[in-house]
Amino acid sequence: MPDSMSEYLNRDMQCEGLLECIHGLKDLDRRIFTLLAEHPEPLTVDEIAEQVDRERSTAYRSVQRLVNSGFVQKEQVNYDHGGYYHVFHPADPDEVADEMQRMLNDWYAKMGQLIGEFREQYDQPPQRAPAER
Amino acid sequence: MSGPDPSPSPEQFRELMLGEEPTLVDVMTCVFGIQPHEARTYETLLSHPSSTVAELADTLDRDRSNVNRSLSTLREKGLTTRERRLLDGGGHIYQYSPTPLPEARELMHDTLDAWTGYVHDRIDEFGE
Repeated sequence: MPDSMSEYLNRDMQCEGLLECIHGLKDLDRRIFTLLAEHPEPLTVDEIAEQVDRERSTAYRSVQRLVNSGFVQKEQVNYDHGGYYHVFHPADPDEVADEMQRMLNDWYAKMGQLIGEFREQYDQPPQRAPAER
Repeated sequence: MSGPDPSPSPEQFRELMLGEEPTLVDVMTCVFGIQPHEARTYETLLSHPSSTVAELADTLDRDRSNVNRSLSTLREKGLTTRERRLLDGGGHIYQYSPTPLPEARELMHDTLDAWTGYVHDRIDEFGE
């Protein structure tokens, strides 16, 4: 499963990857997603930052974008004596696909409405004086 | 006269999908492969049909040569037609009118449908 996903990400698509197309994800986001998809275990932000050779804050923002767009899931790991930390793993491709279909449907509805509103705005052009020089 | 010619590029659709609040000008820009100022010229023609270049330049607050270029593109894309009107004192002027909105709108819907279908298919491949 992770294999097919990273394969997908690397595929040369007309739209330069749906991640980017639909979610506006950046290059780093894709690298991090691929990293998580190929890694057998979930990773912490620190581990991710080290792997992609970026500041922790930069890696964190990127991971956050991936979480917000549903590509990556956050998991809490508790210490035995209190406290916890977070690790990140890729989401199930089926869930991601469902989420993307939903976003696309919303977008499609919004665009259709936009084109429809155009009609209301202009179907009855206002009266104006005859053309003059 | 040929009908409007849709020529969307994936690149422009991507921008349309990423835009926070796309406007109709954005949709037109994408679907017909025109510049925003050209889409605005079409938009203006809808509310000011039979305008001359001078009148459009005035309404759009742009100089005539720019408006002229926009109109050439719109005519090439089949989004605008012009009519020659003879002047009483001799000579003539051109008056420009937009291609009827229902026609342009239908093309926008069709192109949007095609693009959305394409993206749906790509997403389906993702889940497999």
